[in-house]
Amino acid sequence: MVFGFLNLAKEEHIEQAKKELYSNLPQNHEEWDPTGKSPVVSLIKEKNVKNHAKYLFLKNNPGYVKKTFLKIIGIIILAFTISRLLSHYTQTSFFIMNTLIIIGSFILLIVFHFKVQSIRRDLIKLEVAKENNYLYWPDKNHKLWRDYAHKYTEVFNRGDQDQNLEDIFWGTTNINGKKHNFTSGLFNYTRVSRDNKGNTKHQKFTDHYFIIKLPRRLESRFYLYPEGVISKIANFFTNKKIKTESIKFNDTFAFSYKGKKTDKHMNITQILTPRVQEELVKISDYKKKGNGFFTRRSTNGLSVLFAENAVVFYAPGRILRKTKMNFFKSSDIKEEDKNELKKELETMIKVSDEIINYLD
Amino acid sequence: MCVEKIIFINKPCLKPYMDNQTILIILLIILAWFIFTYNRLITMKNYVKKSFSGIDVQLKRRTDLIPNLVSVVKGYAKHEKTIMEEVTKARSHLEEARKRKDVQKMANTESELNSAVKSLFAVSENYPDLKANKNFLDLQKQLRNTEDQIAASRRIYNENVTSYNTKIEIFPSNLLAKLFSFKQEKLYETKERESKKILVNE
Repeated sequence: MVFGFLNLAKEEHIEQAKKELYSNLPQNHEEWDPTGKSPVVSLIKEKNVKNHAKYLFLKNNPGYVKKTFLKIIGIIILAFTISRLLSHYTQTSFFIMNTLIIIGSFILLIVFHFKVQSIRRDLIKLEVAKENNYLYWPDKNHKLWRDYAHKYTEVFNRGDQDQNLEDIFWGTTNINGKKHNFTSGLFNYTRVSRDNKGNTKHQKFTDHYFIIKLPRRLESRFYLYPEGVISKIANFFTNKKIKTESIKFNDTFAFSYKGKKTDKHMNITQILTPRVQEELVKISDYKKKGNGFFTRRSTNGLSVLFAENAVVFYAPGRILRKTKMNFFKSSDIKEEDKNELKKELETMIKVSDEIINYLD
Repeated sequence: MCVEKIIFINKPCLKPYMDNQTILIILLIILAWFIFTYNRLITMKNYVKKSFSGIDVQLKRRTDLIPNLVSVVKGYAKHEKTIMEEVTKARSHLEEARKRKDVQKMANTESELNSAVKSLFAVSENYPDLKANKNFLDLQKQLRNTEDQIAASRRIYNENVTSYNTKIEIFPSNLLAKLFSFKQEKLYETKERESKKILVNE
């Protein structure tokens, strides 16, 4: 009953959502995916309609989330009162029962919080997709991750279990009057490790990626990842580091590629023009922000893979970290949230623009 | 015989404050720091040189594009002699400064060339045929890209110079910098803080 709000897509709103969405969604998509397969537009449309129906429902029932939250609080208070009354009449200790109620309330509130957050993100992303004519898929997809991990091993071959891609956009961007395809989304995975006592530890991570299709194939495949102690030691033995003219760039990124440095040097430095270096350092610095002492991150900053006919950007954390949208006040999607998401995508598009400029 | 043994007969003799091993370890640490700091200073100095040559390469590319631009414009705007002479003059000034590798002069002449090219593009507004010319549009695009790259190279150079100058000034690396006469490098500062993009049609 409490989580009835999980099923917000009511029939009457689905019909309205279909009308509103289908007029905006482009009829003939030419979406590109690195796997070579085209996203199933009909399935995506169906999913988007459901999400849009949720939005319509919340718009028509502005106090719904607030009411549900109050219901949960009411249930918790009622449970405590019953427990108290029972202990009063039976004169026995209800310690275990109280503990269970506290744990139960805690779980209930956490599930509520995450569910509301997830709906909020879905709605913001769907709105951005609608405005920019992107395709958007909010669900988890393990199969797509397998294909990506096969194609872009350096980036996506992470974690030990539960790997999947989520909140995926497929779209096009205009660079120098030419259309360029891209895809972007979240990558979830779990790292399993064992401590000295033999206890298994599960660590869940969520990172985000952005892949843009290039107008032609790159001659060299290479991977830039955050410079650290291990990469410095590795470079001492392998001597793979290609040093550019920027001290900051060299301190920020480590290199990984197959083959000899002398063979790759020319190709790589041609792509890494001063503008590209500058932009990559800026993005990496930005992505490092919010790396607090208690923040668990899979990587420290930006990683970039230049492979075949695409560039893959990979950064820690969610693409939309904090949202301003507040269901308790209104169900309207805030402009700030949309702009935040657009800004994230535009940053990647800007640096891709620089790379494509060189390739053109 | 140590002093403690003469005065307090029962007190055991204290060991010297530092034994040879400790002194050796301290000396090794100082030597390691010395080598590391010296190498770091040399590396940073080389980065400054490398980033300066980065600017130089982009400037060269730009000065190479200017004669083509002038000849294209000449074909359409024969009466704009003064502006074309200004561009040619500014270009030769920049070439001269590049040969001398004088940072300040290069920055000044680059600004001079920037404003001359800007006036040339402004004048081209009056000639619709020129504006529609494919070569002119290509050159315009190339010049704009090169200017963006110059601006980025300049920022990288200034960043490197700032890091190098800071390293020379701060303690304790300033001791080594003085000992080996590492000198401060000049920043590349153009008159316009951020050069504006050359745009005509866009």
